[in-house]
Amino acid sequence: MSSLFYWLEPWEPSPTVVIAVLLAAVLFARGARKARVSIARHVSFWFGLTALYVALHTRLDYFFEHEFFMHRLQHLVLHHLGPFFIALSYPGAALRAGIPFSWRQRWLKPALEKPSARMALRVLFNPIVAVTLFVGLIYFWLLSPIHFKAMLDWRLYRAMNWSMVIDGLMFWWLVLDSRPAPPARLAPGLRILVVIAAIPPQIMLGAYIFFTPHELYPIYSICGRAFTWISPMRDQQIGGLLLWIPGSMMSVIGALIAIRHWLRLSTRERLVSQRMKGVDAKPERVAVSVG
Amino acid sequence: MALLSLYNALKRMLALLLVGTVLTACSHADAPWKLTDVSGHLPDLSFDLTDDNGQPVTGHSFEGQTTLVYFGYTHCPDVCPETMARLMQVLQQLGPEAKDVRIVFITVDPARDTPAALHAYVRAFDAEHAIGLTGTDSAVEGIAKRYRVAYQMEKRDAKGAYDVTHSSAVYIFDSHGHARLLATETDSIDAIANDVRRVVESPSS
Repeated sequence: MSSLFYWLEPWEPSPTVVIAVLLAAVLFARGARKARVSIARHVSFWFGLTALYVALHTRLDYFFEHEFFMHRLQHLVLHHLGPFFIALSYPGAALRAGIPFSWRQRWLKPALEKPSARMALRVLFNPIVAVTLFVGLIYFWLLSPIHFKAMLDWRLYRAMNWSMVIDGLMFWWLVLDSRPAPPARLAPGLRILVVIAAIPPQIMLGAYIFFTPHELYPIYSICGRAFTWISPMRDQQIGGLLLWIPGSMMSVIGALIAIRHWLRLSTRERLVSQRMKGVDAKPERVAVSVG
Repeated sequence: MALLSLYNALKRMLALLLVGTVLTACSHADAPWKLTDVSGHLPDLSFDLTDDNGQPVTGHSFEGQTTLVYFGYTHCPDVCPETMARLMQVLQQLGPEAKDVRIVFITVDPARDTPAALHAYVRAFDAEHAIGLTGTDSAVEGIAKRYRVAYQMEKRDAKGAYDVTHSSAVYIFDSHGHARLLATETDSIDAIANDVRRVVESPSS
């Protein structure tokens, strides 16, 4: 028990993490009583949220800071695993119901209806932007000079980790949406394309890191490694493999789920398109299917 | 609509690229450094430790002096003596300018490195410019965490002796206590001396 507390002690305490996780937990717990949430979705949400907390705010952070493959493992949780399970639990309705009604009326609705907010959401959830952001963030933080500074500067380090979490939540929420479009942002077929498009770039970068015969990220040798029994090159190779295989595997699983949603919706989709034939096609729908 | 979204996507990518260039370029205002420039990325020199005479010291104790901070321990078999020897050669190259330079040896093994042990070890290299610092476990862990230094105790042998693996980097702070450069094992003595001289002559404001 005491060793559990030892591991749960945050390496670098961050009030932001505590507040954000607590807020999500309280809203979901409150809202899940009103909105109907199945046990499977409960399990999925709490697993995802716990995974995010453990990857952000425990003593494991020492190893994430000082061993490249551990860092990759952390990002696998922050960008793929945690957000994936949270999105899979489809918590939007519950989180919304968790906010007191008067607050929803006074703050949330007006904020979401602002033209600037709608514009921002439309840009962020555009399929090209979503894939570019998802892959781009992985590439950006793994550029050698950027990675060096991110591992040294605690502000950049936190910005890096938060950017992965937020982007992961946006991406998987977009991809794992089970509803027809609209109200979902992307058409069911497009969701499959988006998640598949993210696979090759991850494989390429993972393979590049794995096969590079020299140290790409010297910061770990300079600041010292947590696992001294693993050579720097081996550390780099495991890190590359983690991006290459489990990283792209998560996308494959995401694609399978998106395909299942698509198949399930296909009859209803036909109904929607039949309905649309009579009326003029909504411009928004056309844009989504073209973009 | 589709065109607009594409345009926004491009704008987003450009912004990311721009941030990248700024992050890498901001450190190369004038001639490039031979060591690794870390200006603005690491916190200022600050700690509460005990020096090798048993006196309390803080980061402010070194105001006005350029400090080369190194994390090591006196039982260290090879890396620490080698690094200390290299830093002695740097001081020699600096000549008279070395008077405002201090080598700060912070132990990562406070259990064995008492002020007296540190005094004997560090002053053997240089009684004038080198100083050893120790403190409580948490104080040492705190400063190591602050500068992202990894260190850990390895397994004890039959006699109870143990090694402590640790970073071999030398952190260079200017006379205002701002972190400026990182020197590694692969940097030559000439390169370190050259850049330390530049820091002594032009501390950041």
